Amino acid sequence: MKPATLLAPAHPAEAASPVPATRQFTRAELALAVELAARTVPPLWPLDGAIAVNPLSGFETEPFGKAVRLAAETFRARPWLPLALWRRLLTDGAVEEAALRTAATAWLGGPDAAAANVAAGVSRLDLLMARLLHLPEDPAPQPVTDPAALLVADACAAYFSRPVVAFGSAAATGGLFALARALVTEQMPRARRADTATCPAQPLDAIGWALGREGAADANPQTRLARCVARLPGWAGHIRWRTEQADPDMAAEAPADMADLIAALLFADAVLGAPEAAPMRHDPAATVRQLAQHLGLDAPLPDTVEEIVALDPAALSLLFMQAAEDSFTTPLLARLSAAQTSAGRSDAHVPDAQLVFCIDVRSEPMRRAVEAQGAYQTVGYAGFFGLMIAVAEPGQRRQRQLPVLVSPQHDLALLPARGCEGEAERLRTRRHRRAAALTLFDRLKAGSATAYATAETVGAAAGAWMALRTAAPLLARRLLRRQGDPHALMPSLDPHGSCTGLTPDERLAYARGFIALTGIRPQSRLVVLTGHAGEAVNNPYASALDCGACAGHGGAPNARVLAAIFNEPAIRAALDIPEQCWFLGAEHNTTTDEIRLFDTHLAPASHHGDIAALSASLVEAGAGVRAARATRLHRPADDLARGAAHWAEVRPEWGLTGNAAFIVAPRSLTRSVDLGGAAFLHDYDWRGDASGEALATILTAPMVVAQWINCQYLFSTADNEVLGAGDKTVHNPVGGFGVLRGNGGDLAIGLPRQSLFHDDGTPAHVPRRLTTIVEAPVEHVRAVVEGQDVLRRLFGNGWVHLVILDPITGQQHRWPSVPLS
Amino acid sequence: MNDNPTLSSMKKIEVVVHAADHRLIESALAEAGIAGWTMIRDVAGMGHSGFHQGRTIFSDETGLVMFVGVGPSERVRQAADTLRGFFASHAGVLFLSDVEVMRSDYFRAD
Amino acid sequence: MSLMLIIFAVLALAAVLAGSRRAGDPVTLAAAGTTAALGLLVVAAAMGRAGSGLFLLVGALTLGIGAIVLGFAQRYLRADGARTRFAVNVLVLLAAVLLLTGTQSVLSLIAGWLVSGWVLADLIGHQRHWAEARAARRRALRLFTVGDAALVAGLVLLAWQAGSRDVAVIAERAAATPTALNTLGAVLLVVAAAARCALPPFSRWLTRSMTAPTPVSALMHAGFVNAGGVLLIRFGPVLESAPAAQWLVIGAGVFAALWGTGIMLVRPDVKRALAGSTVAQMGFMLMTCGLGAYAAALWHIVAHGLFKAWLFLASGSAIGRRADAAVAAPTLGATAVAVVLSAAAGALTIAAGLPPTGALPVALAVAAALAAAPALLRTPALLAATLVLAVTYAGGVTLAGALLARPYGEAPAGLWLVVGLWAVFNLAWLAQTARRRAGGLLPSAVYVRLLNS
Repeated sequence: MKPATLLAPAHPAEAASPVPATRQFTRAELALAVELAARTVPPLWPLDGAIAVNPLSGFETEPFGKAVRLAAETFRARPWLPLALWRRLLTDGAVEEAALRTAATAWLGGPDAAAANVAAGVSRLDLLMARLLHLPEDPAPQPVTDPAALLVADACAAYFSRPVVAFGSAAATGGLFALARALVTEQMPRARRADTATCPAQPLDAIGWALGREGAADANPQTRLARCVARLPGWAGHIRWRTEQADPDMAAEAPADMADLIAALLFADAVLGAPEAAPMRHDPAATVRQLAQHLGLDAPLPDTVEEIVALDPAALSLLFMQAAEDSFTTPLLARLSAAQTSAGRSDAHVPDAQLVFCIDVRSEPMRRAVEAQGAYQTVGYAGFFGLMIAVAEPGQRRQRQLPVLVSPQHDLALLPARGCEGEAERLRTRRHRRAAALTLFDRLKAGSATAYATAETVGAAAGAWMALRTAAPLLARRLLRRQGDPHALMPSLDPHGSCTGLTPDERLAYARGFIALTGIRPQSRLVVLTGHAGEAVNNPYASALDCGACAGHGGAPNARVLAAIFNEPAIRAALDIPEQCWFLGAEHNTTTDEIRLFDTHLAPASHHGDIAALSASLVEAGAGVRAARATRLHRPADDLARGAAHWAEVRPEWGLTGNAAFIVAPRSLTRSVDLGGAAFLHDYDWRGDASGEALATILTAPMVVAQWINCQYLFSTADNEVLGAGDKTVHNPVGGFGVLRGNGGDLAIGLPRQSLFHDDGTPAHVPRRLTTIVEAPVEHVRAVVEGQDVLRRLFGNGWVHLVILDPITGQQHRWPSVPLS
Repeated sequence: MNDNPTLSSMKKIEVVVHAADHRLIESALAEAGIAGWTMIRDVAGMGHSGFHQGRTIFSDETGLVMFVGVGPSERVRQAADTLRGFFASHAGVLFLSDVEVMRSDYFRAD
Repeated sequence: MSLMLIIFAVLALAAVLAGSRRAGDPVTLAAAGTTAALGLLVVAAAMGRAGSGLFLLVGALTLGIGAIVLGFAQRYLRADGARTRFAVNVLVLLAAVLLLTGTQSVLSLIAGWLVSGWVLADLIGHQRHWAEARAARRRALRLFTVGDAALVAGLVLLAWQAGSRDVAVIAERAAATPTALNTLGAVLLVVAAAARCALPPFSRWLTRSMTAPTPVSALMHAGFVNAGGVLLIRFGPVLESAPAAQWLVIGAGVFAALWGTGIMLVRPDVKRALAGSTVAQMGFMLMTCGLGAYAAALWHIVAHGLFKAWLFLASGSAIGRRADAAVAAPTLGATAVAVVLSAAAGALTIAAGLPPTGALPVALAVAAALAAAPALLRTPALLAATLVLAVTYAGGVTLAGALLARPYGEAPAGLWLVVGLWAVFNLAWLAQTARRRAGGLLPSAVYVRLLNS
């Protein structure tokens, strides 16, 4: 790629006049500026353990409306859903027109102000509704060609993939900046290379050099650096993940930090010229003309309509979003209020089984279905069950199984589960054989002399395998499953090698903590701890369907560990668990809606009948949930299992699409309400939480994770090209940790189109901010919220709505937050 | 007042910030040449924006943290200067005080 | 040729139904039509009425890959608003490739060649709203135009020389009366083949074609780039009557093989690394055509097509894959042993009576087998599987040889050419192994050129 700008001076003025004297920044100043600039983007987890993050997390200190506009400028994005799509959602019934009118009226200043006429028979409300429903919207921002960012992105891809790619550049031994510099320099004609030869090798110094050249007289280079980071949110996010979250040995394979990236971009700008972007401005004059035309008005409109005319596209879209939120929340709150008054708290009967599910929105339909099958009690709790663990197969890299907000405290070794030793051995040997075969295959197909013979030999078999996988995916999966069942391995509670295991005191502490935080009273014959995981094949985004509370992995290990702890005699004695209770670990497959019970062969013979009955109920429940889900996917119900096994399926399930609420209350409040798979449900009983600590725990961890998920879905839907991952069909995996789109460029962030939109282009996820609903006295909640900065920020700035259902007064309170637009 | 010849004067820096900002303080201290410091988690306190509760169990980003570091005067001042920019836009406090230490070489990590 | 017409009719019907938007899902219809066409081809082959062996094998490959790709796309492209356009384009592409493979008329061959190029460019730019895709489409059309012009000029020249529009007649007469114009025509054919097969300097259209959805890439690398090889096989006698052209294609092929391998070894993203691999494989295939080993080239076309399509369609599984550090990189010594034994195998094959050009693939295959030997001997199941695969390989080459009218032609030089080529590949392999063990670092200039190819 040889852009014409390479031949022109970077700054036309530079050639004429000398570089003006500028302030020199100290390294410490630059280091701080770089650190702060790095916060413009959130960390981006690798796709084998994908975590949902808010792409606008760098703007959470601002009120939502302002943040969205700042982000639009910084990322050159459109973080609000276009009006065309809102109008489609309105037609489909996801947004009620009445709610939209209410939101518009409120914005105008109340019913009187809204009804004020601006012309004969035309009120201010009519004008605003015309803008919302009928007038054409402003065009979307045009993407800016940014050759400097493309080059730097290429350098990042090459640098961070170094551990898995055969050959690298000698320049890369000097770090990411050195490699990027080499890539940019090689593209320059030799005559011009002397221009930038004075650039220092150390990234921070190079940033100072580049800022000096640009003549930046600002006291604070913050904005320039932040804009640099925002040009490559994917790679910047990846760097943040490496420096802040990854295990040190992983980060050490390709050391780099944000200073490298910023220095590379500034250097490339010095050579190629920084991209110019015309700011997007709303044109009120054009709007006036359109309004007049639409409403058939001749006389010029009075000045009082100026504010309506001046509304920018963000404001209109946010009005729609408010309406969407109200359309969802108002009926929900009404139903919850009704349930609150009519709920009988008497659970005198001992349930046949107690099941603890993750708070994930997909658990809710399953919980409803299970409860309908018989006397089953279900409880919602974060899917990692409070265990701060990481698991590792002996000799392999460890895998976190807890929310990314905390660090693991214990390492557990994955060893053959009791009774599954044969299966585990088979798994181990076959996995080893497969890994060896794959490595051999990779090596042969890359050898200068061996590649051709390899293709000629493997070709026919490849053809047969492809045909099988396409036409008979279930058979292909059955053949692949002969490789062994990964669940034959289970985290061992005892120390093993370098894994510390859990001491008896720690086990007791976790068990006790679990009982305290859930408020559950083990009394049934079976207590089932149910983690969850998705199932997909040949899908880079497979782990986005897994449990976010388990760091993007399945929840089975945690469920089994806790169940094993609770089945230990010492723990049972210490906690006074009734004799008849037996704990089981389980995993809910959210793609096929099957719940698999683990280690049932370890249960006492007396419980085998109960287990059989429960299994039957779970199968029934699963079938019902599957049928409902299939309707949403527009596929027949029996196609879901095929889709989970088919290597071409881009949408095995909808995941957390539709998430809109986070309910912190006992199950009795929500049991009679069909939440449609749109709510996170966390059990909480305010009466057992005098200090407020449990509520603080729930709101600052599970709810924050839910907010991240909600914001990721929201912004990925609003602007799928810039804040989401775009179309899945052109994704190009790189380095084993991410995907590029097409030929190169930035790492993809957010979620792909197929996960958020229906096939016809209508959004399947309606952008709505999370509404947290807490059942507790107002003062109780207020004390907790005001004592935590993150909650003050989220609720106060309008990122999350908070509604408090006061059980004592029976009233609903909305947490005050700043107005939206 | 240096009665005991085995004690030497140094400066102590104490920083209280939101737990989410701890990495920034760590790198500023490292950049200034203060290689060793103590971080106290689960700190609660009262500030301009109200009362801050301590840490909650499932999140490392809640509550406040306090850093205590000791080093030669120039380095500590340099750290304070660096953090000036941070405190211009973020919540937190920073104190410098004189302190006497044993084993002064222990705090001059080079 | 009536078989070809029947197949065209089936494909056309499927295209019409798909395009009507009312008969059901277009991709499903296209997949059904392609499978039906494949079935017809197989039945015709069983009855011995499938036309030329080349048409049978390449036709089966093309329709087979087409069917798999369309079946894959049923789910993969569910959210694509332009499914109809995709389905129709694929059907037209398949028909065009079949045309240029099986037709006896030079004019139809040119038509098939041109149409397949235009349709593929359209598939590369399938996502019309995306600027990068549009740019990739324009780039492809630019590079195709060079090749197309060379093809038209070359075929017109040859047809005029031979005084006929029939492909077989042209091939015969060129062999009978070689002239300078004949050489020019052959060289033009080589240029056309090189452009279609994405040899350097024409490789950019392929290495920048990742804007195409994955199924399109699979189809491209399996069913489209082959056309260059098919052209040279059909006009083999022309090539052999013009040694200059043979030298050109051998030289270009070897360079492409090494350069493409280089690209594959440095690119971090899966799809572009696969593109580099295709450049190398196509270079090797064209070199094999230049050597006159048409049967080997034909089997290579078939096997590589299936191989590459599988790798593309399965590229989504690349996430989480990390190189298994436990399996040690081969030592220089082990590689050297493989090289020496490979030479011995080649010598034995020649002594057994096979022409030198046939010995080259055997020698390379033996090198590969020996490279794999330590790992395979450790795992009996893997060894058994590999033996089965080796048998299919041998069977495939035999089949290709049986189906072609002229499985082996004249190479421009004898034994020493083959030995030279064998040496080039094995020395490259040794150098690669040595450098890999020394840390795998390349000098900046070379690295950047490979990365940006």
